[in-house]
Amino acid sequence: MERCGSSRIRRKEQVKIEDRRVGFVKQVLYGNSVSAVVRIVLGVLMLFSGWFKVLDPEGFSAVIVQYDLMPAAWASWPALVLPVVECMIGLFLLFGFRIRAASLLAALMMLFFTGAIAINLARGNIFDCGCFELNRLGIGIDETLSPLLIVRDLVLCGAFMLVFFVKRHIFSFEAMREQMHLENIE
Amino acid sequence: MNSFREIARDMVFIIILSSVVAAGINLFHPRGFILVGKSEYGRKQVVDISVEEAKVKYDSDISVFIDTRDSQLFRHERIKGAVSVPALPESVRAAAFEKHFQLLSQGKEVVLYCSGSGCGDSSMVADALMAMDYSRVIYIIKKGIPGWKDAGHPVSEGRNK
Repeated sequence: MERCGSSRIRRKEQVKIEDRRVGFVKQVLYGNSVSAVVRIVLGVLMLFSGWFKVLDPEGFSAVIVQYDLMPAAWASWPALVLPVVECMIGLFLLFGFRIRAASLLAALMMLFFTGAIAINLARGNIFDCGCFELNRLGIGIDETLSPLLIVRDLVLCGAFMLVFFVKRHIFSFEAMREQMHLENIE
Repeated sequence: MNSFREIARDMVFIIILSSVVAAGINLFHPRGFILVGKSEYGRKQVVDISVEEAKVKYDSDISVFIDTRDSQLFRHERIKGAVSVPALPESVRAAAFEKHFQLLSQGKEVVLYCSGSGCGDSSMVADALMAMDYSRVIYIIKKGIPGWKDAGHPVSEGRNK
């Protein structure tokens, strides 16, 4: 009888812990400070990585050529536009404007980059991926093509999708606009 | 469905806005791309300069002066400090490029000259440089060594430099 009682208590505790977990995920997806931090960190990351590429279009075009996915002569246009798209996504995420579009675009870009890395790994090519250029910030991260890089990009893709599914974004321009709209109605 | 359309519209907006901003940045970027046709690009990369402009480059010591005439003419007379890369024959030109490779890869500007505005040697060497993927601007002294001499700028004569 006692054993039955204690197992029931244990089960109840487990359910409570699971509830708390589900509650946390629900809170993040609804929009709390954790989702805001994820959005802002991703925004800063995109902004920095884009900015360093904007400074050196020739270098980035050489990186694109290394991937060997298009004729070398075509590489200059994506070398110009991609970094600015990254900067724009970064700014939009950072300030919380058009968040769903920016995060979905970023997730699609991550998927594309993952595919490009996978193709070159399959070909047996090994070179610096030119992904986030964090070395320029003094953060010595090895960005040579490897399966680990694919995992990293997929995790980032997941993080962008998380931001995409968040319903309300606190500390954002969108939230501020909504607040002002509600105040005007009142 | 409506919300999906809205997101797709916003994504297109981000891409178009980025493209416009990127094109704007490229116009003012010191290392931006030259958005012209291939033949036009070749013409943009090779710039004719006057003797006076060449003298400014000579004095600032940021340029390598290359004599593109025959090596005999070079031995006889040359701009002081210039090196010889004869336009023809090709084998001699290639050997000369190899010899002066270090000099060319130092990041100095290249100034070519031959016997005057009518000679095609400088253009031939410029073409050869571009074929070697030399990406910087190549300068040609329009009036060649006669113009340089007439202006009274330093010239070396004889075998020793």
